[in-house]
Amino acid sequence: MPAALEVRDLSTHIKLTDSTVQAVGNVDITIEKGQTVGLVGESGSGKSMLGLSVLGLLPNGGHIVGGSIKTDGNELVGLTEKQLRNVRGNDVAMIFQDSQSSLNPTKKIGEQVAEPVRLHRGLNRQEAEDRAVEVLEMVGMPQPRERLTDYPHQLSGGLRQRVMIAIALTCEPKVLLADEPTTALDVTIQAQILALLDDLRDRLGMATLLVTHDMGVVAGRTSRINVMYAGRIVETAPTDELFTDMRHPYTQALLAAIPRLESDNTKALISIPGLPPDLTNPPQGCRFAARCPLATEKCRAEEPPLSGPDAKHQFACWHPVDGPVKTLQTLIAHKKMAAATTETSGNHLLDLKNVVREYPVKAGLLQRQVASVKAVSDVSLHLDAGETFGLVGESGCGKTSLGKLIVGVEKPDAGSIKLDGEEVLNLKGKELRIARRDLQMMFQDPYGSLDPRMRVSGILREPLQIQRIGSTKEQDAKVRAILDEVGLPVNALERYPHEFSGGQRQRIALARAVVLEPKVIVADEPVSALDVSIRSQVLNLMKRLQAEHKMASVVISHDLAVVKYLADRIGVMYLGKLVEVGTGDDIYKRAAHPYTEALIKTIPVPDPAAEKAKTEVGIKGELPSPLNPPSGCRFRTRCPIAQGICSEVEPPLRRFSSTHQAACHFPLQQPEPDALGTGAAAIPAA
Amino acid sequence: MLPEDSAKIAEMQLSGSAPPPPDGGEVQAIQSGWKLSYRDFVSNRLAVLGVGILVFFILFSFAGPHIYQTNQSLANPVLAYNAPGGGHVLGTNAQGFDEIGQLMIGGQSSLEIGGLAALMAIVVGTLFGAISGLAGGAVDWFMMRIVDIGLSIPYLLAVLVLATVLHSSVFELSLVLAAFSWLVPARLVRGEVLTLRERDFVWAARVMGASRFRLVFKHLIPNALSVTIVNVTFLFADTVLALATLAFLGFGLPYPLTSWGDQMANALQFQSEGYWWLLYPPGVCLVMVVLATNLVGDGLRDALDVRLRRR
Repeated sequence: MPAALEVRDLSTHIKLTDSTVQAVGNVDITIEKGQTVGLVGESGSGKSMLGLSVLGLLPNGGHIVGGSIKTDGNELVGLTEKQLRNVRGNDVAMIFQDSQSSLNPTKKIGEQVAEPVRLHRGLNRQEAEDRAVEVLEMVGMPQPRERLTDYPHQLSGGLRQRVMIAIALTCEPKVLLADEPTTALDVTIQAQILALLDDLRDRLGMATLLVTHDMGVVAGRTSRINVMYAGRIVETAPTDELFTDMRHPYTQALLAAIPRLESDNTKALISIPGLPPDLTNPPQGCRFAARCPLATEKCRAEEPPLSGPDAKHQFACWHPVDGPVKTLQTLIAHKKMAAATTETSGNHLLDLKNVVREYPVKAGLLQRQVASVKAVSDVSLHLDAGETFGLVGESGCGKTSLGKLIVGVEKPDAGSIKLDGEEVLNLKGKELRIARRDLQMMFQDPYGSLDPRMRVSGILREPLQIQRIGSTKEQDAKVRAILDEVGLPVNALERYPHEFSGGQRQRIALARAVVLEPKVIVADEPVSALDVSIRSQVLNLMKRLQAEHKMASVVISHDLAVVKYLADRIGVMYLGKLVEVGTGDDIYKRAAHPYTEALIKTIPVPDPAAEKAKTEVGIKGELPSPLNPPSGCRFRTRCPIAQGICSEVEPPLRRFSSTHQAACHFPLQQPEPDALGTGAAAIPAA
Repeated sequence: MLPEDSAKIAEMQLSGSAPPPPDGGEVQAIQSGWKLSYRDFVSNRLAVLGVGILVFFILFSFAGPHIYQTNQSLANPVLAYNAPGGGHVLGTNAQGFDEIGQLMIGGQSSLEIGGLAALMAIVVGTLFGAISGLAGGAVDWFMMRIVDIGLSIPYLLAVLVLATVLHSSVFELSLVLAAFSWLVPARLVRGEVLTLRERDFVWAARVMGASRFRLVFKHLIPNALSVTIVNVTFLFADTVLALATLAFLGFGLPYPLTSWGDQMANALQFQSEGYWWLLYPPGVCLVMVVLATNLVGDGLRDALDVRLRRR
């Protein structure tokens, strides 16, 4: 019986004005019926182009230059556009990354889900609608018949992604291509969607290609993984074998570059130096040679073939490694010192007390306020000199708003924010400008945070100019010094931001935040837009700079592992509230709040054994609207152990140890006796 | 040995041979955005043709009189209304002036007024829009209502009234025309600024403590530049046409000043006598310049819009 999808020696090129990108080169992939195969690679490795080649939907100038693609034994390469249209959405379907832009905002979701069957099966309106209800039910859409008339914007991100999957499934395709299906989603929703994909594959027997950059996502869901680098498959192996006995240095480094919850945060992450090669002019030998620690002359001269002793496990390398990295280098010396200061001083560097920020929602002719988005509700936290505080939470939990409040570009509606004992918001004019030297911010999007019309020299000098520090010459010297410190060459000064890769831009953004030598730096999702191999470079750099400049920092991320790697203490936010605060170990090993625990369980781990051992989906349901948060404990609507009292009384922060506090009526740990955080009434633990 | 040193050494080892490349990797020179835009623009043949036509008319009007010298100051009734031929390729007009020389002089004032008015309009409009967009709230509301009111006044009527009040010199006519043409660019720039001001680099500048003045001039206006540049070409074309309309209605430049519009208005009285050479040449000049400017504007819009860029 032929395989559901069989790709042989496929090469795809994209022709640009005066060059050609060799996006996919000599790729082989086979997926059997009912099997999920993972395709892992960084951005630009050609993994999406591979998926689009199968569908014949390459961008302008793209064409398949060689090889074959067969579904169920039928050749797809060389079909006419009309024949391909019969295949798309019928035999082969695709789920795209961004459900926001992949759904038509002006059409009801019922029509969009029914469209493929109307086109391919010629069903009439009523039959198509019935089919739409059926598929929506299958993908776990609550009350599917009522939802048919909803528009995409009326649904949450998770539900939109379910609609996307429903559209892909209406014609019962033989092959499902899932291109980063969960990258845009929160971890709790990601786990739900991945479980759904698994379940659907088992029920419908589809062959699924799961394309992703996240090793954790593929670990528990696939039977085989292909690792792609610069347009080539560099290693392919059964999932378990790839994680425990990888042979290609790229696979090895990729896995070691991911910070993990259980990993020791005094150790440096393995980082892969440099950048992937330019595919318009790929290097002659092994494409990874320039970044490989083991590369020799042979690697640079001759490209290794994809081969191996075993047909199941193949790799393209002249000097294969055996298994994961054994030892890691120690990076941080100052950490112990920083941790020691945590408890002692009475005066905190930064002190937030009962901070509230609500964004008004206005409506009607007179722009009257009808509601408010409760972004940050009654948050208190403190930060000592040299300390790193991590903030984690799902999108929409108010962590970015809190970051903007800390650096003083947003004003709280209530509460106080003190820097060195002085209320920042009472400052005006020149004093405020000078206070800003001590509070700097690093933004998430490396493409948006640098002015595209300014050269790097101008970007890095701007903070000094605004703060009127030093003469032009001194500013220049300082800019050069900082550029060297973040590991960029001097010729970067004369370049514009678009000439840099994402990781390099994030280095520039970091340099700009550090150049004023602030006391506190707030980093909002500093690495979430970066590729795994680049991410570890930036994380190592941030960690080094924090220690060298003895800055205190607040690191905001949705990724608990990133936060745990960088931070001394962690705060978990849920819907505008700080629900738990503690050291990394407090949070990871002794989580007291059910939300924290569920969050830890939900994060996909790049370890097949651990992933497969997970039985439950973690947190059910979706984040409630911050316009109208639940009464009492805000997590109660999704909490597995919620009881009556949770909807009536808001739980105060309770002490579990000198460093550990959590706000829950029924904590998972034993709180310290009569040590309630704030003056609320004592509530007996369950 | 300090741990940092060992980390650095390890990094060096990872990166292989000495000397070690910078941590962040080398930076390759990529063509700048402007250069890419230039390439796109040049590959648009119609736009290049437009530039060619514009350059021709600028040279014709400003350099032309020095090369093709004719009597344009002393009226000579004997030579009036000579048909093309003889010493005058395009004949002569009512004052006996050479028609080609007249076209050159008329071109000067047409292009000057068009350019000056477009320049004034774009400067005022950009500043107004940028400030309004950044300020937001009540200031924005008030400033935009001014624009709404301005746009609701019948353009031609108001310009006619103003033109009668003012002396019709090149500068004053430009001022009158600019007074009404800054409104649309103000709106466009405000729209652009509204999206720009929420971008992270503007937030970053705020975190550094940048003043509003700096935000407007260092970040918002340079980034709204592509909107502005495209707009200025269309403004120029509109103004040249509006000037012709004014002149045609009799509110153009006073004798001996002249523009293409004035020349056409004058020629119309002799239409029945068959003096075609007085009417068509300025008309053709006008159409050519406006068409060329629009071609250039379209080309610029395509070249500057990153979303349409081919790689």
